[in-house]
Amino acid sequence: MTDAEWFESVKAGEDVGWKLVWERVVAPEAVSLRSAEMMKRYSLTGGDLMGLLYEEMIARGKIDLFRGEGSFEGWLKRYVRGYVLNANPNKHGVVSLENAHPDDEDGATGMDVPVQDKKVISKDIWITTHYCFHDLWMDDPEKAYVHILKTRFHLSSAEVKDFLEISSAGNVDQIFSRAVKFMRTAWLRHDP
Amino acid sequence: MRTPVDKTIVFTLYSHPMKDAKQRWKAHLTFAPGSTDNSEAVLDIADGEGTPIAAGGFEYAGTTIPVTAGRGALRCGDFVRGKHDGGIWLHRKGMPPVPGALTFE
Repeated sequence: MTDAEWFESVKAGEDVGWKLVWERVVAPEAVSLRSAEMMKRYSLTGGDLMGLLYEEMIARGKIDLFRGEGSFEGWLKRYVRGYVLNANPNKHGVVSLENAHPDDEDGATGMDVPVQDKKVISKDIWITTHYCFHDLWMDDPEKAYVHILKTRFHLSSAEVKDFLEISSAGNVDQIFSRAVKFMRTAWLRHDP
Repeated sequence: MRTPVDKTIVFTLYSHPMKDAKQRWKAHLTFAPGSTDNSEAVLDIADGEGTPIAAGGFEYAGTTIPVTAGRGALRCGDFVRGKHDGGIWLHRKGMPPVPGALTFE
């Protein structure tokens, strides 16, 4: 199904079109690094997102704002991400549909949510891992060397001990364990 | 120090983000199998546009090694002695020194 056919199908409220919305937009977003944790925190389900999207597109007629610039999938994802971000009760008090998209008709400033249709999850993970690894390097380069020798080159603790002149293989294990813990903590800092 | 006899270890080092691609750099530090203290790890270094660094100095943990035609050599013993030191810099004539760090690809 082309983007144009998909758009027409969604606009007509057809099951086949909305099934694709679930498969390509809502379900992947509900398990993405970007949204999953926030959805859990704000008690938001994939079904809620689907309902909000349907109400906005069909009942409010926002579907007509799609101008065919970029992919339809990406355009829908911006709405869905907006719902998740705006579900923060400390921000609005209630789940808000407003300000979810630059196409808002009331002139309010729209959110600038990046549009990434494919591989967004793996890209996020890749970038965040680089940030975390840089933090590890800044903490102690030796930890970064041990981490990379164990995880990328699959060296045994004895081999790492000989390579980096660490007192014992047990000590290598301890350094590696601290490095992994550091990466986990850094991950939470970079991807709250 | 002694590296595994059946593996070549290659560390990737990358400059901190710089606006100008000419100022950025990326280096590979290669340890041949079975390297020891007196062996030399080979450094291959290019700028952000992929052009090998014609001439310069690569500073690793206080030791500066000369770089010519994109290549230099670091004593393995010096590498291990600097394992706690994050001071990695590329010095080039007419350009400010650019720091870098270990990364992965």
